[in-house]
Amino acid sequence: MKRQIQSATLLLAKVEPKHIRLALAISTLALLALVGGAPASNGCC
Amino acid sequence: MILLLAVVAGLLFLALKVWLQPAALTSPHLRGQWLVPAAALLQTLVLLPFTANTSLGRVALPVSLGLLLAFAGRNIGQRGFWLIGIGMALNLLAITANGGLMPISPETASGLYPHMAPPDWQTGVQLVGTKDILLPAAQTHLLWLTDRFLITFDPWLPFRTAFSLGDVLLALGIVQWLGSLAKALPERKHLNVIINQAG
Repeated sequence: MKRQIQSATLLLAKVEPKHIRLALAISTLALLALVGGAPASNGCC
Repeated sequence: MILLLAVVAGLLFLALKVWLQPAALTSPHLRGQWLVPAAALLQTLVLLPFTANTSLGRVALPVSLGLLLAFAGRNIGQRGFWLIGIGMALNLLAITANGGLMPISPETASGLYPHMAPPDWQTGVQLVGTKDILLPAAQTHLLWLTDRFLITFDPWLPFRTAFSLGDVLLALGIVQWLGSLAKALPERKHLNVIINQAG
């Protein structure tokens, strides 16, 4: 468990602001895809 | 939900570009990102049971699309945002011309729900859980901009969806923007020439 926390911490330490900006931009576009269009579906799946 | 497929397609396109050519991911700077969650919050008024089919819901949808258009306008310099903006503008035109909701004809609605025949639909009311209002084609303004295209996945999936021309442009714009996040790196031999020239 301790080892997993250590590797997760190491991974997080490698995250740079540009990665966060990229993730945020892609999330914004995904939300835009959800609310920008007006398709209708049968609600299945 | 169907438009999320555009995001998946765009991410696959991006992965393919990075895989096929030496490319690096760019870090985009989107302006006015807060406009998108604000528009999403506003759109809950269109879908909530106690505000759907009310004048509040019919004002909320055009206003939220206005916010999204402002977002597209602020980022118009980025690839894909022209298509995104035009797509949303076409949807906004169809929605405002028809009282604040996207029209869908009883014929198309019956394509979504095949157990309902076109005469069974009560026109003039909002289709539950959607941004659509049931309107006969004869009473619809800007018919070609409304939800009149139907996709079915029969017999593999029971999922059916109706969408507009604006939705198609929006999806294409999203794919184009995601694809533009891969920036081609100079080839090694070109890099050597640049380094030699610099030396």
